[in-house]
Amino acid sequence: MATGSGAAAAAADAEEKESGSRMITLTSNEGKAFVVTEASARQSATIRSMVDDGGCVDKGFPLPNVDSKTLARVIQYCDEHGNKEAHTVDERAALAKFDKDFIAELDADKAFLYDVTMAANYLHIQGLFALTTQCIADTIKGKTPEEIRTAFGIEYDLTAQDEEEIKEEDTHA
Amino acid sequence: MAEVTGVHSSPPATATASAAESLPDDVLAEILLRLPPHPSFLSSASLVSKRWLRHTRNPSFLRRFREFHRTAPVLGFFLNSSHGALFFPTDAPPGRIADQVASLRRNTGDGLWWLVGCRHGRVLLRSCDWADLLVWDPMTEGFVCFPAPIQMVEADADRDAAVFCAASAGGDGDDEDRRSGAFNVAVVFVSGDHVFGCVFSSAIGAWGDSTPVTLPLLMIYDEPAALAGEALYWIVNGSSLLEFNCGSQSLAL
Repeated sequence: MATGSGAAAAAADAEEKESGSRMITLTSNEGKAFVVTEASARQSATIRSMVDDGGCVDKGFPLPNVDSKTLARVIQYCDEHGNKEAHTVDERAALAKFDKDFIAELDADKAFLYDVTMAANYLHIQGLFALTTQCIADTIKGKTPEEIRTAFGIEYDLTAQDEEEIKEEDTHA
Repeated sequence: MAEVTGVHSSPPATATASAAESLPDDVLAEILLRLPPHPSFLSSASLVSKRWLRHTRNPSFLRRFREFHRTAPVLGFFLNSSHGALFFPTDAPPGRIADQVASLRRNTGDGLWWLVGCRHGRVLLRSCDWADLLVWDPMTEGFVCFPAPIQMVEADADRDAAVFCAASAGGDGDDEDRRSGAFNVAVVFVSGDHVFGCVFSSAIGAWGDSTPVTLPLLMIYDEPAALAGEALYWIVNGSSLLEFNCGSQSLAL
């Protein structure tokens, strides 16, 4: 990952589109520019389709819904998955190890985990979105409804009748 | 300059809790989708709030949930104990299925129902003398009790049975399709020097004609049959397979 003026992206030759060696500038909602490889940026289906549609690669992409802290973390994921090969068993194992450490770190800061999840959803970064939503689901799975409400700050709004009906309907073992 | 516009534009969260609650519906659905497939997890989630309840009861979400997890969860297993059939759920404490199977009682004989096998969401049980069969759907709590073919009861030699559900006409043949339809019970038994095969159809509520085949002396073990296509297979005589084609009602060794 590199931050800068976006000059590298501007200088990149449009003919090099297929080679993936172009640089692309992503700008956070705080106006901070992040210059990434096209391979890294293409982890985002949103940006990929804009690049393929001949979008304004040279001018870069402002991301009004993503703050700098979140974007930096998202780019960390995209760099790892976009710039590195995953052909051999060892390479795939290294990526899996990266994912494991990446999500473990995020899991320790729930608010940040949700921000990264939102950004992954907004940018359509499928692998990252699956990673973060699975992590949140894993948080839920061992909890009682009351514990889930506490963890997520959810207000209890079910009526006694709702509860009765849910328990009536549930036919699990 | 082109802006990358998204559907969601929620402000940066001030607290963890409010951030979680502000996750949009499509993100919440993706999270719930990744809960383990055992129904108890969705059940807990449905009791969180009206919003979560709405998600977990949404038919298109439930369809996606089944597709995401592909194979149905193992809820538990049945076992014949010295007190008849018992159910051991995979998640403690024992739930409704275990209670129900423990309360199954007959008025005659040893008063117990014995497990024969289960398939396509149905459980097949028998009386100790094989005179009565019971097919039970633990999900709908439906029971169907019917007598076994008289020849089978009279035959004191080896016998076995299996329950299966035929795919409905026009259905896609998956478990969902089979579960909603009628069930069949196939029995095979040895009487004299003949082996008989016979199918009970719940749609008709009666046994079909039994097809006797003269085969060398058979030993049918008390083991569940395997279903492949239209045919059921039992291991007989230690190393042979007895095939009963339920479509053509034909037996072969």
